[in-house]
Amino acid sequence: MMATSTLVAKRPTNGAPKDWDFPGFTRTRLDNGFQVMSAHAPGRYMGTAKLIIEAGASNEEGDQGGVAYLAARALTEGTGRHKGGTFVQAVERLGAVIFASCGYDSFTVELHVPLDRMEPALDLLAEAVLDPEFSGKDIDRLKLERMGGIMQEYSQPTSRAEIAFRKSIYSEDSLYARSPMGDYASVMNLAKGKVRKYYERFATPPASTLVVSGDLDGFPLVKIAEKLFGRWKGKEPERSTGHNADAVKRSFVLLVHREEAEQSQIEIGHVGVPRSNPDFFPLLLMNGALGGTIDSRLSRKLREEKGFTYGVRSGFVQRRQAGPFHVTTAVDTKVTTEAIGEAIEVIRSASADGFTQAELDIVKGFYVGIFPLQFETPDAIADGLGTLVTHRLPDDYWATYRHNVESVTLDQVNEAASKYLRPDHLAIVAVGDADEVKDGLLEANFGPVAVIEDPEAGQPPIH
Amino acid sequence: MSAIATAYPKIEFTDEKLKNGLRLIMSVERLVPIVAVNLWYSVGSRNEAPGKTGLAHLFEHMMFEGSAHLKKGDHFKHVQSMGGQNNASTSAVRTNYFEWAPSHGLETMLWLEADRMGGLLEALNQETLDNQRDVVKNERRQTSENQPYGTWIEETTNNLFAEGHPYHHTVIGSMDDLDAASLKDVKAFFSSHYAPNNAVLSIVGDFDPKQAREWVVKYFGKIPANKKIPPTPDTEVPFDLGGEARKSIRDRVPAPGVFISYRSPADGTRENDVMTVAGAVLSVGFGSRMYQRLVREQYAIQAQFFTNAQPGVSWSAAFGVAAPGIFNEVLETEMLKVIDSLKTEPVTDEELARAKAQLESQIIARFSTVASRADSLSENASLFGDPGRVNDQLSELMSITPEEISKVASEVFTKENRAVITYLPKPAEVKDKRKGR
Repeated sequence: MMATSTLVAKRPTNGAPKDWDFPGFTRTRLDNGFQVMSAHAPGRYMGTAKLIIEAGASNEEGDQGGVAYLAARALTEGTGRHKGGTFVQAVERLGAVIFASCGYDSFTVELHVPLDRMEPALDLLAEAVLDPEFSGKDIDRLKLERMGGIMQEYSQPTSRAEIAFRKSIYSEDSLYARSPMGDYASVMNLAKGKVRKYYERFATPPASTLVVSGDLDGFPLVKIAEKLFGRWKGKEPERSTGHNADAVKRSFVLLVHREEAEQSQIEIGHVGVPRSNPDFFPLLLMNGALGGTIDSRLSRKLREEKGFTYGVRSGFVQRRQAGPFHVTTAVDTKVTTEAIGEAIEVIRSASADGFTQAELDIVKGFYVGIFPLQFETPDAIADGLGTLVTHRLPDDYWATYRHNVESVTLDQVNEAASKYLRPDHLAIVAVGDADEVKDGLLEANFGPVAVIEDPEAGQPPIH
Repeated sequence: MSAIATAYPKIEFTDEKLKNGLRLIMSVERLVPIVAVNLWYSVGSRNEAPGKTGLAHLFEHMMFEGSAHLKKGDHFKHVQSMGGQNNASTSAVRTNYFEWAPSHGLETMLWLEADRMGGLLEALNQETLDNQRDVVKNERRQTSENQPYGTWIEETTNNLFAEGHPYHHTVIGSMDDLDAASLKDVKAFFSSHYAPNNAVLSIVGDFDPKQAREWVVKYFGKIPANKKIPPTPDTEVPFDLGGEARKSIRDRVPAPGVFISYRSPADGTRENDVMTVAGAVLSVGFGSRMYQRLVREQYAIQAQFFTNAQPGVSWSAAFGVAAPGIFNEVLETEMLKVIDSLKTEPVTDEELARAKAQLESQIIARFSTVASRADSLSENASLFGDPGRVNDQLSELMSITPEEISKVASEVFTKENRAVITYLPKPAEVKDKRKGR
């Protein structure tokens, strides 16, 4: 056999990147305060529309967790004109999908449809938004569905760890300690009449923005929006902002026992920063090098060097108030303590010693270069516009994005690491076999170790 | 009804074979300055020998561990630093490696793929094999053993296809076989299956085809063909298991889960397209029979049906998670009623129109990214010899009739052809036996 290295040539050098900008977009306000934004994406026949309402789980009253989620789910179950299951039939007959969802900061009604049917589909979307049926029967069923879904979340290691983690880093009375879709008891106890009340209070034209993208050549969007939403009445609602408090005084371990678990599902972190934090770009790059990309420090250490895991990621979750910073991974049960130790060490050394210029160059190249890939589809472009709405970012945000990434210096990245990573204030949550891993965790002395045990299968969750 | 409401342009492409047998497909689309590369090898878990399950997928991982001019981790570094994405996937029938990046990165992407096609053996070593073996074992734990209902696919293929059938085992393989995989196995696998004449290279997006072709010849042209690619294993079996297969499993699940599966028509046949439309009637969207009759009627909190299309024989499965208070027997009975309704209760015009409109949208959406276009071109060239099938798929689906659906349903949805896997919550007494802490 011939020497294989002669079979292939040496590494080429890349040419110069081509220019590409985020699509130009328009912003129009109707007389009732309803906002319309559109971005033309030539040659894209599948269109996306998102009606973003500035109301989410953050606006729920204390004992009504899940009301926003139930309003979202019930919104597409029936309307005044199309009762019961006939609404979805009408939507799906167009080749459309309409569904609503909610997070902490916003409530979104989403539509995907071939553009030649965008107009009748928007008509149906408006029907759901302006005249939802909210039948008691549907809401009762959706409550039960959500309760069954929560029991699934408790049995699934990734979601079980997320639940334990958010309850660990935020104080018990914090908004972010609970699920944006409601917890078991709050959903169970929710009076069904509250759903319509919540929705009517927050879903108003000045709180709403319709974002549309696709090949909109010749599509009279504003005229159509005027026809569909112009008659909608309502004022800007008063909103409470929700309370969040950091509960972590010093590092500790919370072990959620999962009998004979083959792996430990791990979450490590603490309260992070709000989306409005001025160090957004240094943090983006810092996290990219730490654990936000597959060639990050955490991935190189835990996956490529140690073989502890199939994957590991870190991230600062973007919300209006300070969302979590967390490292997520699943590791073989027998290496649980060692893996946690390595992850903490990566966080600690990033915080203390920072990163290298070579590491920064790679993540910079990534976040600048991926820009056109990121906005290939109308759906992604609509999401880009949605980000501007939800986080109240300026209209030139995407136009200046790559420049802002390029401008970040190594000093800024290292300052962000030292300022925003707190290696001595970590909640360390592991969902795994406590019989196998508890002794090792005590010995490693990452902090005090507490163990919780979930109720038997089929019983409502309590922790 | 009008079959295709939206007239959208055909995917234009060129299709040729290099001297060493590498099939090259190029399709230019300049909406965004990005380009996708998809290198599809005709080898998957169906090609694994007994005792070597999981080798095709473990091998896929080794392709990221270095080659003639690349060190471990370099693939990710080179692709990421220019703003690209890359990955690979293994199924029963193929292993595809793909990356997409801003247009100026095309030459680098082609070089990366060529370097491991031509120069993998130079870098193979025990240390990286042991590392990736551990990674893959964790992948298996994470996606299968440690997930509620997570072993259902393995249970399903084990029950639908007899031991020794190429589709009996799963892609991820058994822990024992992964432990036993040696460097010699990995080398032998490479030498048997990885060669230009067993691969399709698709390039889609914003690029100059003349220039790209020169690069392909430059980087892949010297890699020799393998004259002894092993033949494709025969997978065809009748829609008959010789009687219903049943298995009940106690697991860490909060509610019963029922998984009903069938052998079904081979990928690439008209009957498989019929199953696609039947599947949409059953379970695409909130207007589907399964959502309306199982979820809205509160038998299940989730219920779905899908087909895993494969050459020779596919498999189709319905799965449902019981709503609070519903026993698994009741859920199974209701699921069977809905599945069997396709035999006895003809699909109405309204249902068919809804299902087809949904499938049409799914196909338009799928072809709206360069990466999935490249994948589909590779797939159709590799499995059916004809990348042009990407342009026929929609009209084929739109021509399916209700009569065809009830005919295929009658052939597939029989008791003799089905496997029923049921997951039940572990009873309390099992938990009490746990050793004390």
